[in-house]
Amino acid sequence: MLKGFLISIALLFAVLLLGDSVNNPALNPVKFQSPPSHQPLRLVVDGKANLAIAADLESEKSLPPVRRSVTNAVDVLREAFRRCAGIELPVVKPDNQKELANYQYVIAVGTNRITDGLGMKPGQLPKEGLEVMTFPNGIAIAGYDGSQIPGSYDRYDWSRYRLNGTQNGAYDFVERFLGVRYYFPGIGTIWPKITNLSIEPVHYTDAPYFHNRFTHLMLVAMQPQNHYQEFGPYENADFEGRWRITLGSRYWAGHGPPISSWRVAHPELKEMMFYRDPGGHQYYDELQHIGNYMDVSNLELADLFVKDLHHFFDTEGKWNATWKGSAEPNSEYVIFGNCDTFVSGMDNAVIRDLKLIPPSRCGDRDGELSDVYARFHIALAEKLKKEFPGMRLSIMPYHNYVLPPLLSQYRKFPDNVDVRICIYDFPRFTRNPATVEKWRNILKEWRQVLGGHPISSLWLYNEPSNLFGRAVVGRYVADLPKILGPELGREELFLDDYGGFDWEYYYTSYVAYRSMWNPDFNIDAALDEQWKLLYGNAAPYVKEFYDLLVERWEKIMAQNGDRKLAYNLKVLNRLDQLLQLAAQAVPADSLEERRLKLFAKPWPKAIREARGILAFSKPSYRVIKVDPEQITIDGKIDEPVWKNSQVMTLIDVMGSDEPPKFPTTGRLLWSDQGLYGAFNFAGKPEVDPGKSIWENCHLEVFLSPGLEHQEFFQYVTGTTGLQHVGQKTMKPMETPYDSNWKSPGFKHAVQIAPDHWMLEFFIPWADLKNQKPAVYGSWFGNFIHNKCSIPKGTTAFSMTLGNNHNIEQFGFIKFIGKEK
Amino acid sequence: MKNSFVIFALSLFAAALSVTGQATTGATKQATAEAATSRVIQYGIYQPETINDYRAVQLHNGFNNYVVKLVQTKAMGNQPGKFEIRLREPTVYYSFSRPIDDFIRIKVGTIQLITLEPDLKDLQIWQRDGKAGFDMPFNFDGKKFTLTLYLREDSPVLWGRWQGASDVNVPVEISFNLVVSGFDPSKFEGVYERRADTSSRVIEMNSSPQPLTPADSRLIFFDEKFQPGKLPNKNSVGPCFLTWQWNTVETAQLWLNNYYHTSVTVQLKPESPNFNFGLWESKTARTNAEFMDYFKTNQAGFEQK
Repeated sequence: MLKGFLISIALLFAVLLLGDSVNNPALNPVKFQSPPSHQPLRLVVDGKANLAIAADLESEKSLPPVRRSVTNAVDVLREAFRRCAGIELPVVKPDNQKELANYQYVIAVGTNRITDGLGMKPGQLPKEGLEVMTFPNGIAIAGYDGSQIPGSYDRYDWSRYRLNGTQNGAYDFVERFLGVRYYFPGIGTIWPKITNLSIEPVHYTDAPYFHNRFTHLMLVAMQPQNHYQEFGPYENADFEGRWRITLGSRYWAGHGPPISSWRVAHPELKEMMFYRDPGGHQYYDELQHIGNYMDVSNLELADLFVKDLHHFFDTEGKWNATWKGSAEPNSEYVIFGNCDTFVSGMDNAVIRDLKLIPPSRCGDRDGELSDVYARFHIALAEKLKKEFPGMRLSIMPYHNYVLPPLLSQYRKFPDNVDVRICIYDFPRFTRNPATVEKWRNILKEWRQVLGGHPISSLWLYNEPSNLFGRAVVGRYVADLPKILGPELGREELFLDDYGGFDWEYYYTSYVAYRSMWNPDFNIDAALDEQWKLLYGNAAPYVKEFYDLLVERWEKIMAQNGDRKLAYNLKVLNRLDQLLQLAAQAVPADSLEERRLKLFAKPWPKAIREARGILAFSKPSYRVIKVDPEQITIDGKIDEPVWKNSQVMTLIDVMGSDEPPKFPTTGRLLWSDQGLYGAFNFAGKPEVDPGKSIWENCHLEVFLSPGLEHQEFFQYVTGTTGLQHVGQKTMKPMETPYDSNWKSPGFKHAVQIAPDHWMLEFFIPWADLKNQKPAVYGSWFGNFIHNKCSIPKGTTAFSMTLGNNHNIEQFGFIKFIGKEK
Repeated sequence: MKNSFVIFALSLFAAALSVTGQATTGATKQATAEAATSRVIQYGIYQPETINDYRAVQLHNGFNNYVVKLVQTKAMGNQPGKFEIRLREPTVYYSFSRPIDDFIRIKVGTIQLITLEPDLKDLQIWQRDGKAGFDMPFNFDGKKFTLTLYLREDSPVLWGRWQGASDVNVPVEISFNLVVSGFDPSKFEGVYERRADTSSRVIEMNSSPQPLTPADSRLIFFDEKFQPGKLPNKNSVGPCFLTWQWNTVETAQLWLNNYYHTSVTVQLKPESPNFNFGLWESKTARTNAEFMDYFKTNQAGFEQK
């Protein structure tokens, strides 16, 4: 009797757990159809199952593993039953009715005789769509699979293009009926213990809202070398599949053709391909991507591109010198996107004669070159239409051509153009009405220019530096279709993580990609369930912690961005307290404790940084005056006069008080001629002449004469002796950063050692527009060391909060008179 | 910071009490000559979190008690740190004290004293020959000067000397800043009747700076309207006093506007940029008439030696 009572309790528990699982608000909302009429399916009884999987795996064997939707679905189901119920499900061919007759129940996976017999037509679902339907003897899980539809894939397709509806269906099934949850690898994946599993009749379908839901970083994150020890032993789990991160269409956009390939393919055309400014500087850099700039004012570039397309397709992709496997054209789309270099004030005879920069757009940070690009894009699209009918041109408005063109002759694009807009403000600021209205209007205008065709894709950006923000901004991905309405199509959302894929913030990414699948995904229900499943008794504290971060973001950061207001002492103290309460609520050495350690991982540093920001006051450095002949710029720092100077120790740029593992110290002196600097950088330096200045260890020097923040000068030099200089005016009118600005008198020299390197430099006042500091006068400035050898890191004289050009964060440099 | 505010508030309260209690008496018991002393003391400072370093020096004799503060502030916001010389007693409020921060400003060539960062450890206290005071050296880009403030045992005046090194030849400008007697915090300008009684004339308020001459060997600053015990500001403290030796002075001007703040600026001869001066203020509030009586009675103590 007791046994029976206990079984009843267990069943009740299972029912309670799973009774509402079909409609669980923590899962993707699905479209329920009328369920068939039959008895509940008691798939697992007292830990035993009389159950097999029926699936035809042969038809997929020739495909790459990532496209074997049915095979992968079978693996998903088998793994779930094994881990939850300890049951190994056999796989039987659907046509083997004799074998299948040995089992009480069958899970029919993918298109086969069984699903045909049930009248399922997964090929008619939307791409990647899924259908789950019970029947008296089992469950059918089938979806729109490229593997089952001839001609779905061709030779030009990128491997990220996958149509795996059945696989999606399997994941949905194990989540909905077995309670499996894929939050993060290892201990972050929930496999509920199941001894009894009973499924009521059900029939539903689902399909993604956005065809492409993408980041390339999940693949990187799942590599063994990026495995987090906290997860437990490494498993090569398919988190892209689990989170349905994929390209479900052939659409793509980006910086392409890759300039490293295209210039090598046509070395003789360097002059035509790359823009040369009136000062004679050509934007061509063999060492790095940034610094190159294709001359889109020259329509011959479009001719070259089309010529290369012919070569590519005529050889069926065998000739791909222009692409070398990156951003290649496919059977539906060709991609054109200039290099990620900001160039303003483009000027040549074509631009002037055709007046391609309207006066109202001169110097406009968002739209100065929109008409220059529009002319090019239209010309390219028209050529494409003529020579590759049916193909579409994918372009990517960015930088100072993100706005639609102004000139009437460029306000009507051909109908074969798709646009991806790069919106730095989203998803972070979807709760800022002014920002939303601004972008909605821009997209609306683009749609008009595109003849009513909506924007195909948004390049979204994670919060780059605010660690509290990175924990929450993923939830605002769901806002985008709602706030942008018809201006945004359903082709794609691409989330640039702006850094690495941080598993510490798995929950923000989890809801982001769920929302791309379905923007109506109930984020808060999912998180509430998640906190309980992962953290047990600590759940209320974790929930309050997260909710507080959301509140601060929406109320303050998304509106005026005042960090000190958003993360004031009261908030920081409460966050600290909640972490402590959560830690106390979980048993020692428990699974909950281990998971909580991952959740808690970023917060000590984040809170310390925030406290540092609250306590921030600009540092001050006293520069002693010397005679110029006392210093020779040779990198040795052995002149006696250096001993009299104050030592500057560089600190963490984000405001935490963590001392750098590899300290950097600096000294400054000045004379009537200029500023002298001597820096010593601990740690093995990165010295590679084959890399750009930015990829070797280097120092950035920022000087802003006076105290009015009117302008700043940037000097960069590093271990390979290369240099970069630039200037930007802030007041009275802000101008774009001028990377063509010259400083002919800038001198620098380095000494390299195995465990450190040294730098001496001299900056003449004559090069700073002859601005010389007054004796005992003060300027603003900053000195930033970018250590590019492993372990990498950045330290500075004054905290930058992640933006080296942030003039408001520069410290004081006081020029002392000759007092000795 | 809280403690400093309490001290400041109590000081104001004490000042108010002393004024209220003695508003109409003015004259106090006769002071007698007493050895002058000088020492560094602990003294509260407003918003200590804004201060890099400071020294408070008490200068005392039988006639008066001055506290001079040398303050180096931290850089705040977009403003670099400053160096100021503040007078905080005997008058807690008005005259050369609050709300004025730096009652003396000095410019050597183009360099303002406020921009220097002198090492306050160089402050030297001394007592000799019936006097007590301190020396503070300054270096203006290689041009060395010393500021000395001291008391004589026979005088209520705070005497000062600005002395350059022997080889210094540079224009120097010195300004004194004060609030004459009192002011109405709701009306910073337009409601005053400021006067400056020199040895040769009485200068009335004027929107332009008034040139001074050697005939103006001393200035008694007072206000006809703002007197102790009287509205619009019952806490007014009465007249204060400034004098200097003209032998090294090239020009001097007085800004006596219908404004709460008054200043005197002196340009020294570049070839001898040294300056001897004296100023007086008092804890005891005196009406204008009471001060003139006091001045006449103690005139020897107001004269330079």
